[in-house]
Amino acid sequence: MFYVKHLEHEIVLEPIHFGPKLKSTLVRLLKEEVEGLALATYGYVVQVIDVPETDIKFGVIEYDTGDVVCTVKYVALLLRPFINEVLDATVSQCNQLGFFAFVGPLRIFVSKHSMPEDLLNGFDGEKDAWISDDKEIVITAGCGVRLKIKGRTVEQGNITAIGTIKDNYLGLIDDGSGDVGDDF
Amino acid sequence: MEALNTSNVEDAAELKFGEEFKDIDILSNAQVAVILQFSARSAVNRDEELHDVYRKTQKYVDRYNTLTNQEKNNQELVKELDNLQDALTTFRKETDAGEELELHGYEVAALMNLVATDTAVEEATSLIPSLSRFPEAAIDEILDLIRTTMIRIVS
Repeated sequence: MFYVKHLEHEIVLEPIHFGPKLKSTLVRLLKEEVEGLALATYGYVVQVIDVPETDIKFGVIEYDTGDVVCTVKYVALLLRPFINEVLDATVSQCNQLGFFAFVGPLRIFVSKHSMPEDLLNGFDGEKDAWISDDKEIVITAGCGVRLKIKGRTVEQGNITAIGTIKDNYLGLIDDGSGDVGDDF
Repeated sequence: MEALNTSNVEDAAELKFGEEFKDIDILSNAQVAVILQFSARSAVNRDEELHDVYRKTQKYVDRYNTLTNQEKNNQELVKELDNLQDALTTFRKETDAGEELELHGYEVAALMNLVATDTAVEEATSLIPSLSRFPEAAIDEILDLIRTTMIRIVS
């Protein structure tokens, strides 16, 4: 889910940046360092919304380098999967173990064991799709699915979540062509 | 690597989000779409490149946003969304026990994201289990609020 939160970050300012444009340089450096990052507890930082001027604290000048470490408080727009939340996602890839779907930058894996019974034997290697027994539901790259988050891991700067489409009202939403399919 | 099983602390179905998420504002896809549209425009004006995470997020909210209309101007849209969020956040229901129930920020955002014009009470409580603490009539009222705003925005 998307949410807004106040966060803190330390920026190292080199002496070349001291001058009249200090604040805008600070904001620019902050955005470069933090936007797009996946924080373990808080999720993906989608955007830095605001840097209130009153919340910038300057540290001491370091002996060796002449740099100053500033602690900056900023307001960020974040994306993070919460356990048991229901999200819509776009399918990117199917394989015989399940399929991958994305919510923006967030990758979610739905294993075949988290699929309803009439879907779990339906992997079609040629079409790269999961097809239900009655051939009504076809899940393939580009489709929209509604899934529930069951778990989450953070590794190497990326967040991957585990999802399920087994419960009621979850599953295929549309086939990516703009037509609406059947809900489960 | 963070632990996979944090279900003892975090569970959206019971509105348990952990200590660090006490003072956050949860936003629906529609509101995020508006925010990203504004900043995309100003970034283009300053000739800045938008990073990957930003572009993917914008593509996502543009696709899964039921509360939008290309033909409406942004100000009208923002007003409708704000009004809806206000109506949902100030929605109050008194139970028989005399307690006052209100919607949690997470439920407001989830409702704005997942509800369609034909969503019934049963579907809403299945997708957002914490809603079951409200009586059915109250949930119907809530769905109605969203339905009317959605119809107003889309028409």
